[in-house]
Amino acid sequence: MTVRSARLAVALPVILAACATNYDPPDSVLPLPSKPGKSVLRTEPVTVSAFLAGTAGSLAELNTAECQLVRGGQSVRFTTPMTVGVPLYEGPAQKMTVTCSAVLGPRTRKTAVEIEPEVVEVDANPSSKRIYPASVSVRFSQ
Amino acid sequence: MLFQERRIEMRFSFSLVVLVLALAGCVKYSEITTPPQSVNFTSKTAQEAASGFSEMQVRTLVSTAKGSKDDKEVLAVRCTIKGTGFGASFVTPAKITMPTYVGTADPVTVTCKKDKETKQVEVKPINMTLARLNQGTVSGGGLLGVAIGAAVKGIAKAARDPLKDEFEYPISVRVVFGQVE
Repeated sequence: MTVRSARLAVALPVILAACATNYDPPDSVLPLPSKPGKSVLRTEPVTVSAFLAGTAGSLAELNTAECQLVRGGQSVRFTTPMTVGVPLYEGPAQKMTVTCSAVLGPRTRKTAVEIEPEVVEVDANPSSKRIYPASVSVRFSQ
Repeated sequence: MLFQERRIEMRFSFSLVVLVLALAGCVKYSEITTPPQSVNFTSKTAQEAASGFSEMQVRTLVSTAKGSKDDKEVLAVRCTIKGTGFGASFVTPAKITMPTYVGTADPVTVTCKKDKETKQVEVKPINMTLARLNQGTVSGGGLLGVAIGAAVKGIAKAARDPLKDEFEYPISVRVVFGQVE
């Protein structure tokens, strides 16, 4: 390895020190309100995180994105990252939508992601497959 | 290997000399005597998010049949610049003090009107962080050195925090009239 290559290799840790920070969601789970008159089979935690995707594959997590998770008539607002407790009812699973906004550069940007259930029908068996993905990423582009 | 590197360096130096000579034969610009003009912010978010300011020169030209190097500069053309949350009106040639942002920035539109012709140019912000990463030399150490250098650059680019990317508008913008688009 030449001196220049060695210098570059030494520079790498310094460059990587500028890497994006990752954030953990609060320990407490934020509940999505349940439908009135419906009995809840169980609650599924879904962690929502927001990212700014830069060019060349760079990614930074945002701990400032203001989001709203909506399913049917129920919704919950939060700042990312957050774990939302999604109540499950017997019968067909509904899709959810997460809409987020974040101040990036000169303006507030908005983005949304639809969360399709991985299972069509929710059954009472607690050991059955997850209905929604355990984590959802909302991406803003640079 | 060392001999080859020297040759590459010499070629690079020669190219630089040629470039300078070529540029010397290009359009002669008039001196900008007016002080740099600030933009007016129309959005609090855009104003508060500005990380700093950088100067951008705007010039208006008329194209000739001979090609872009023979473009003639035209003076006193009224122009506007419109960005996300800020804007300015000015007369060319002008120096505009543009906001810089971190994380991301939007393109701005420069619109100039001369006689009955209106020209619009979209000016994209430059990711200076990425530009600096791209600029680093990877010429040392032969093929292995180039490969290592490129790999380190690639890792650095992918691993950087895009929230810290610095965006600036280019230092010079030319609005050319009579140009077939």
